Amino acid sequence: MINKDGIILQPVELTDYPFLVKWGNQRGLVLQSQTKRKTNAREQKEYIAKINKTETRQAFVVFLNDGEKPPRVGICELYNIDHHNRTCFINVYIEDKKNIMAVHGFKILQSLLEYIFYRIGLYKVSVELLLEQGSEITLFKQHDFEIEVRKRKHAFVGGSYKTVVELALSKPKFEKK
Amino acid sequence: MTEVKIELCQIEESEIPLLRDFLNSKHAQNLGFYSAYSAEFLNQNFDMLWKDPNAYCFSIKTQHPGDFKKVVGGFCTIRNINWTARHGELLFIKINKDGNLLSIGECDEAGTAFKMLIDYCFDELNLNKVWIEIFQGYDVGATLDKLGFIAEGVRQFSRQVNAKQISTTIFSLLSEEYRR
Repeated sequence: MINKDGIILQPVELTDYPFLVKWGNQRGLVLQSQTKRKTNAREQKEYIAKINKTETRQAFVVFLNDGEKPPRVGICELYNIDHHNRTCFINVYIEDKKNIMAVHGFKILQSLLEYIFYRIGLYKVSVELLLEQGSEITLFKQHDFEIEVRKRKHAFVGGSYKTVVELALSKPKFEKK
Repeated sequence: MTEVKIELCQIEESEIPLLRDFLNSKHAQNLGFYSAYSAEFLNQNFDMLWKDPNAYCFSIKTQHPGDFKKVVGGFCTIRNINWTARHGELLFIKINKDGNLLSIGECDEAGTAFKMLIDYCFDELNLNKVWIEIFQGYDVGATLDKLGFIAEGVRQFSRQVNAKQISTTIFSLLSEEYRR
């Protein structure tokens, strides 16, 4: 668990499953890991256990530490974790964009990046976003992410193929900042 | 003069030792092939090669004129297939008799096998796009250009080879841009 600057990132538990389904399937926001709805309790349990066990994927629920009962505000996910090449991809989804993302977005991303670079010890982190997600791209650019690859027709969203941009940040650049 | 026959066949269990040799060769490691299927992974989960619905693994078999025996001369894979967005990543490795790596444009056989793999993606799997990650130092840009591939960008320091972080270039080909 990560607890810093009023932000808590906690590994997903079974009680978070409905939120994973709800947030994970937001159109155009999470490109890689769309969560299939599992109605069976056993399947849900297995799904959560699988996320926590697998070496190539980690998921966290974001809480705001501002009282006795911190509210869940979103999810962060690390996927395609490659320990050999020391790279991974991230997904961040915060439900209330206007109020929470604008105020706490920077802190959430900062906590996640510190976890990736200093606790897991990776060298490079990348994120895939749709070209039309201007505000998200701006947020990542504030953290010195740079556009590396522009993937044509790489996502199928809303009935058409969309261009995806891959932004990346390396550890030396993060430390320099 | 009859030409050399080339076939792409699904990998058989008897080819595991050969595949392991490929994976352990320096050339394959430089290409990052082992990151997909390590030798340890192959030993333990060989069935996974068939069961994974998002990957297809083939061996490249060549038959020279007047020769009945088919020789395995390389391996190629389509992996990370995204069936919703209809795209997949290509991995291609072809070696000659001496065990040296051949790039796609270096010999006709490698070029033909690579084309067969792309044809399979577009015609059989009905994909919309294929992409390939080429390591820095492998000059295959001209060959890929001929087929219609376009460089989409450079992933800086994305792979670790010989204790160094090196860059890779992503090339992609859309089905409508494919020059058959």
